[in-house]
Amino acid sequence: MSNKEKIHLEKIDDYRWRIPRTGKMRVDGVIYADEILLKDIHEDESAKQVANVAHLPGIQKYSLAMPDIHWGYGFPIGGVAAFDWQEGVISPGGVGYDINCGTRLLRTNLSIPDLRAKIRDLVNALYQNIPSGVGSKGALRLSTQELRQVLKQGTAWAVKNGYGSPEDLDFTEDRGCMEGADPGVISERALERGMPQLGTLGSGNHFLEVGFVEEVYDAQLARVFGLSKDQVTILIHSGSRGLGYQVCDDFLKKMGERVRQLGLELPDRQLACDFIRSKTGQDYFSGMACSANYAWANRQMLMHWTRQVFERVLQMSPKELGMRLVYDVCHNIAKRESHTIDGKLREVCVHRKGATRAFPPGHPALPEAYRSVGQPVLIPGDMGRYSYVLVGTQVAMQETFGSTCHGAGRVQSRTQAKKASKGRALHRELEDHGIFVMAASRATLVEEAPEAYKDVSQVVEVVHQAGISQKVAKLRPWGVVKG
Amino acid sequence: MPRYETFDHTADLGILVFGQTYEEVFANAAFALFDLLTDLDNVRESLSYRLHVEAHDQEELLVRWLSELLFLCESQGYLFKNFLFTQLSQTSLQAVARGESFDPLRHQFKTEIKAVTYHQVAIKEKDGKWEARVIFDI
Repeated sequence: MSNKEKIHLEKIDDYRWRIPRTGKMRVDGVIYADEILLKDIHEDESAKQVANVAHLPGIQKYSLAMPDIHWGYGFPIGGVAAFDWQEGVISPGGVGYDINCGTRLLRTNLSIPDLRAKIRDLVNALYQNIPSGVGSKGALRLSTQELRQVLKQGTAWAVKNGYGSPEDLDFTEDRGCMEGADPGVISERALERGMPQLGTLGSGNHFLEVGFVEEVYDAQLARVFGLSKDQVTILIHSGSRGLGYQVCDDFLKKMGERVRQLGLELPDRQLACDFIRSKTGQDYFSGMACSANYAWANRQMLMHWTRQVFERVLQMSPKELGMRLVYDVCHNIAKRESHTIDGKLREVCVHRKGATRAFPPGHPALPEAYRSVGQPVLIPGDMGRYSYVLVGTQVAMQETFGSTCHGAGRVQSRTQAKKASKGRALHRELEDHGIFVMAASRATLVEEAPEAYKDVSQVVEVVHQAGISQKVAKLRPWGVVKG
Repeated sequence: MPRYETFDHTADLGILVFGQTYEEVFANAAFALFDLLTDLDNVRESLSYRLHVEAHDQEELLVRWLSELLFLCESQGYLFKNFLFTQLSQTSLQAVARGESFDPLRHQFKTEIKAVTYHQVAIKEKDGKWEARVIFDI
């Protein structure tokens, strides 16, 4: 970028940095990072984006960024901002194109030795049975009528149609269904893009990963989540596919017009927004909820097929396998939540764009099984290193509207990653590290090379040290299906 | 002069598009989109599609034009390589795109482009030549 602008950051402590309010900013910005990550943040314009978000009407307390912050459209990726439900705005750029992009984790009764001889067969079978890749289409042919039901009901639709069990609902954020979803606000185009793609993984950074628990940091918490050392796990990362992208696009256009009408002064066109209480604001919220529900149904179907593949390849019963959903979290979303602000409980719209909800012990939104310990938080890393399971905390509730990081964040652009991998056999390199990968295209594999990402442990260390979530376990990838 | 070049964005991909005229820069931006999506050498011109796009200004027009083409590619499987304008202003265009439908036996997608963004979109004339920049979310 040519127009780099250094933003002045004041150190609060080793893990918190303030962007003091200047000009038309309504609140300060706060970035969670250590000195090392801060250097990456200064490489792009993301700190400026944190300051830009602070300009929006109705923003509460701070414009926040998690340590995996990087440059996004309008809002930075890794950005968290809450707006007053009555007087604040909602912004599609604060959610992102892939609405309810998220992660789900399954535990199993298997441990490493049970899979050693079968991992290749398993990954091959997963690759064959789970549609992935650019523009991938599912095996399902839905009518518009059925698709509307998916948009209204989310995971419940999937369970009703034979994908998984009712128990899965308990372990999905919002029970896999956001309220207020009205398919009436979804454009024909979004329906058309979404129709053939339900039950597909997609491409890019989306994946399905068989791995194992490499390290447990908190044995008691791990036990509550059903996790133990050397246990085989499955991590699924996908979102709302073309439907969500189109909903975002449709509403960016509508809100761009509203910004003009309202005469709102915005530092960036991609920050287009409207008041939550306005017609466009309400319609976007409904459309976003529809997309979120689509994504939950999608991940539920992907999980169902994963379970089936395990049963078939390993010749084991569901009971023997014990493939229970640990949790499903979304990391691109705007939610209506209650938070304490200046000592008062207030309704806000929390935007989490590349950030994960991290609710503390005792929060009513948590399933009973986890209520005494807090919400599981899933942080996928790159395919060569590791992913983390964390738990939400009271500090997150006080400081970050119950939010934490979402992943590693890129450090290399796709072109840089391509250059760096020229002439290398990435497949082989990964296999030498004990990671077996099936990818729909070599291009994706190369772009998603481990070194293109920050070391996720650095990111996790910051949120752990800052106290906005706590480490529970580390997962290591073993067999990976990439889109 | 190349029709376009790509530039890096940590998470995404930008294009810098060149043209002798305003019209050429619109055609080359569309070409760049499909050139990134697939290998255009394998695409025949056996199909014509008429498009009409409107916007508030030229930047938005460029984004909407590319979004429209991306939508047609994803929903109908159309791959276009040639673009002619019957009308083009700052706020509207009518065009004919030529190409064919995606055929899994002959075509392959190289990248998924989720969306055409408004971020730092720009079109300008410099020394009688045109240049545009657009960032894709991929």
